[in-house]
Formats: sequence, structure tokens, C-alpha cells
Amino acid sequence: MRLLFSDRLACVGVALIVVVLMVGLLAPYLAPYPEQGRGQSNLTERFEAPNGQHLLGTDNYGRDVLSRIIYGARIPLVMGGAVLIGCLGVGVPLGGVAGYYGGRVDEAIMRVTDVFLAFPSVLLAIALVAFIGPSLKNTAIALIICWWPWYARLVRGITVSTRTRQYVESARVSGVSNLTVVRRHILPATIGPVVVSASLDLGAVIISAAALSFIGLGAQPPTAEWGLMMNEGRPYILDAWWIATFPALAMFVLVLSTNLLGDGLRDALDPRSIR
Amino acid sequence: MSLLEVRGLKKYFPIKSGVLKRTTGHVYAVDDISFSIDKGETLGLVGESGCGKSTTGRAVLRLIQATGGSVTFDGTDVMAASRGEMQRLRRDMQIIFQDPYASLNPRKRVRHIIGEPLDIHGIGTEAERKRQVFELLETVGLSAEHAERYPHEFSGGQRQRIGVARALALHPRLIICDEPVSALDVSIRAQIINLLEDLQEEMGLTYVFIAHDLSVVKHLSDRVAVMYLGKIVEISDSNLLYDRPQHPYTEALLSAVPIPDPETERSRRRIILEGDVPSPANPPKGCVFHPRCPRAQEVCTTAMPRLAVSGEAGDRHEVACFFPTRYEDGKRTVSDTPFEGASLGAADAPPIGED
Repeated sequence: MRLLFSDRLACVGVALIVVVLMVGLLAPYLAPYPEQGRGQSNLTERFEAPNGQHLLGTDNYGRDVLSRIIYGARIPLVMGGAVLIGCLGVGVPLGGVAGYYGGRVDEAIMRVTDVFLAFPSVLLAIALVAFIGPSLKNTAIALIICWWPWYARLVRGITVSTRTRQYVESARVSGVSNLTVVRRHILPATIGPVVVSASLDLGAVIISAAALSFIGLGAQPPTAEWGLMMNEGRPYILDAWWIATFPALAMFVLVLSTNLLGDGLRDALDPRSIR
Repeated sequence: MSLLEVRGLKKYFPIKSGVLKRTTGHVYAVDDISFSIDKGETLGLVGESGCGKSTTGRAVLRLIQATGGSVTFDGTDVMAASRGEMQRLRRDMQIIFQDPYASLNPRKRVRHIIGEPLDIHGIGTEAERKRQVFELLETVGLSAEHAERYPHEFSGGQRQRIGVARALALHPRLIICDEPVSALDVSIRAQIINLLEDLQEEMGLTYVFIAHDLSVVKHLSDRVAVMYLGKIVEISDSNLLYDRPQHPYTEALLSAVPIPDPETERSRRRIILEGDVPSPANPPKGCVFHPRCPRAQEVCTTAMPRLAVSGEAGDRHEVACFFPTRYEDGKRTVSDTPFEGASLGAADAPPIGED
């Protein structure tokens, strides 16, 4: 932890993520027009350019873009977190079992992941959401289904390479049972790469979720969701550029900060840097 | 009675190929080897890379399941031991690995690495275990303050000392040393070897010392077994083997050791073997050494000679060769007629390839 914070860029990433979280939590108090953030339209003030009253302008329903961005901050991190936890919950045990026991179990699990990874993941997610119906929850489910194989593979790879390490063999010579070997020697070896991979994926998951909303398969109007807002602003991009641009910028900053955090974690979790 | 008795140990690794992973052949890593070690003795196991030395060590400890044969440790059949029996055996048999960089978990503190065996076997209380770890560290020439450090903070020699301490934690009776010094600097090597010798003296340990360095083995071992392509070709008391090697392979190996005396070194007769070690997946018929052997005759291509005493009766010196070197009145001779002892029972030996 201390190491993570000695990395300035990682600090910036963490700080921005905390800011986004706080903004999301305190949305009703921070948003200048909370009811518009929740979706109430205000048809008298449509397409207003950024000004003193509406710092980031208003959209085609006259809603304050800033308020909607603030409300939209609630979704991506929760979404990303839920999807990643789901992926880890499925991928880590399956990958661990495949790697440690090998043989047929391994073959079976890995062929299943191959099938999933053979599809372009966003396309698969689109198909799944289209099948189970568009909503935020279903977006999360679809993304978990598309994403867990990466973690299963990652964990399997580490497990296979750790299992044959001499320190694992010497633990077995001392009579350490399978379960304890996995718990003490193998899982700890996977934590670093898994956490790093998850934090680097966080940005990608957020983008995918927003992309699904953008094409109408995620959050439904009038929810304030950045991907959806970009889509709503798309027809007016030439005349009212602020409607789509500001949510996109918010997205950019959030994803950048998750990547900074991921990089920082990668450096900090390297065992050679433990003091 | 001997502490460890290995009879007909075999380990064949299946070669799998194709989509269906069918077994298309075997690597005969260890093929029917037998030896025994008395308490307090050191058996050196030498041979080139890939001849099955390490596999033998692992199979003895049941780190890998042997294909056949038996291993008896102090009267207990290791191969057939139940879980509980195995757990007890684990306390008596330990291993020291070659690579001190790979054999210590980089994420654990030294205290946990050395203490793990104690913890697993529930020896003592937390405080007692901690004290034991300190004692072990001191036994191997480190100090208690090293306990809180991580492996990467140590040099290769120090790491190997940690490996030794871990192996000693359960007060084992047998330690398999799998090339414990070949990854170390020459200057550090002597320290570790001396440490192993001292420990043997203090604790009455029995070692199986696996190495490819003949001078190290000579220094440490009471008995030496020479392996070639999964088989023991010669086994003998150490000084007898070094002074009077009987197998042509042993002679060649010994002739490759430089002698630290310029006079003798200049007159040293080197035997250069032709060709490479054949693949253990497809060992030659007959004597495994015959394609490279300067003495090979027809009989060598048909049957694998068996280990037998060829020199003076009562010698603890066995050789698997039809034309072993004999030493009569100090003169070195090689007979022209095949040595009968080597062919006895060869016909009963199971054909290679049968599981």
C-alpha cells in the first residue's frame, strides 16, 4: 500500500476514482438541478450552450448536462466492480481447479473458455443482452459471461507454473496437503496478477458497459448514464457539441484514472519490491 | 539393516501426441534400478544430465508416482504407504533442491519457510516453533535476525542454507540432496558441502547425494552409483570406484576429471566418448551404453548386462558390463570373454516397454 502511494501517477488515479465515487454518492447535494439529473425534462431551456446557469449547457430535453454527468457518476464504478467481482468469482476457482488438477478437468474447462474467447466479446455481450433484455443488470450479467474466461486462463496459467515450482514440491515433501498448498503457495501467487489484471480491466469493462448503453442495450432513458448521454447527444453533435462531449470527457478521465491505478498496482505488487 | 532399500525402481513418462493425447511411447527416465543405503551413509548418484538421477530422488520421496518397483524406508513400504503413514514418513525423508532461487517461496518470510514443516506437523506451540526456527537458522550458519527477511534479500549460498534449514526442521533421517551445490559459486560450494558434512556427523543423517560433479561426490560419499540412461551401470564403495573403475562409462567419466597437479595432469589419459547420449524415449537394445562403448561386442547389442560383482568375491562393487575392467595384481585387464555374472537372469528381465 505504501508503495502504491509512493507512485505519483497511481495517487492521481486513486484520487480521481475517489472523487468520482464521492460525486456519485453525493449527487443529490452536488447537482445544481437534481431532478433533471434524475431525468425530469425542462423543455423551455433546450440546447442552451454552457453558461453561468448551466455550466455545461443543457440537452435536447433542456436538462442540465452537469447534473446528469454527476448523477451518471454513480453507474460506471459500481458496474465495473460488480462485473469484475462476478468474473473473479467464476474465473478464479475454475482456473485454479483446471491448473492444479490438470488432465481432463483442465481440458474441459479450457475448451469452454476457448469457445467464449473465440467470440468477439462485445458482440457476444450484445447478443446476450438482446436475448435477456436490455437493462443495467443484464448488461452486467452479459459482461461477466464474456469476461470470466480471461481470469480462468490467467489463474490457470499461474497455477500451472507455480504448481511445479520447487518450493511447492518442498512443501509437499513436508507433508502439506493439497488444499493447504493451494491456499498457502498457489493462491497468493495469483493475487498480484489477478488484482493488476482486474484493475487494468476495470477501464475496459466501464467502456464496454457504456458502449452497450450507447447502442441502447444498457441503461434505459431517462437514466443518466454517460454512454447513453453520448448517444442522446450524437444527433446534435454539430450544433450542440456539449451534450455528447462532456460525458465523453468524464468517461475519459475515469478510465484513465483506473488505468493509472492498475499500473501503480502492478508495480507495487511485484514481490521483489516488498521491503 | 539398511535404512533405504530401493528395488527395481522404474519411472516411465508417457509421451502423448495428437489431439486425443494418446500415449505413443515412453521416456524411460528410470529403468529398473536398485540400491540400498545404510544409516549414516552417503550414497552418491552421478551421471550426465537427463540420466534419471533427479527422477530417482523424486520417485523415492513419492513426489512423483513410480511406474514400478519398491522403496522401503526403515521397514515401511513407501510406495504403498497410506496417507497417515506417508505423513509420518515425510518427517523422516526430506529433500534439498538444486536451485536455491526456485525452491524458496518468494512471498514468504524465512520464518514461515522454515517453520512450515513444523506447523504442518503440529510440532510445539507457536513460541516453541519460533525458537526452533531461530535454532535452525543458527545451525546452518545464519542468525535469528534473518528470520523476518524475504528470500530475495539473500545470496545464493545463504538461500541454500535456508533450504537446508527447512529440510532439517523435522529432524529427518534421510535427506535427498538433489545437486545442492551445482547452482552455487565454487567458493560457496565448499561451505555448503562442509555444512552438510558437519550436519551428518552431528545428527547421524543419511544422504542420497545427487550430482554430476565427480570430485564433490568423491569427497562426500561412502558409496557411489553411476547412472547412464536410467540405469545404474556401476555401484561401489567410493574409493574402490574411483581407484578401480570397472565400467567403461565410469572410466570415461573419471578420465574427464582434471587433476590438480600439472605433472599427472599432463599424462592424464582421457577417454573421449563418441556420439551423444541416446534418447531415453528410444533406448538402444541390449546394453544401453553399447553404441558409445569402445569395448562393445555382439553380446552387448542383444542383452542388458545385470549388476554383479565381477572383481574379488565379497567386494561391495557391482558392475553391469559384459567386459568389465579387472585389476589383477595391480594390473588393469579387460577379458575377451563375456563376464558370466552379468548375463545371469538377464533372460527373465521384463522386456522394455511393458508397464
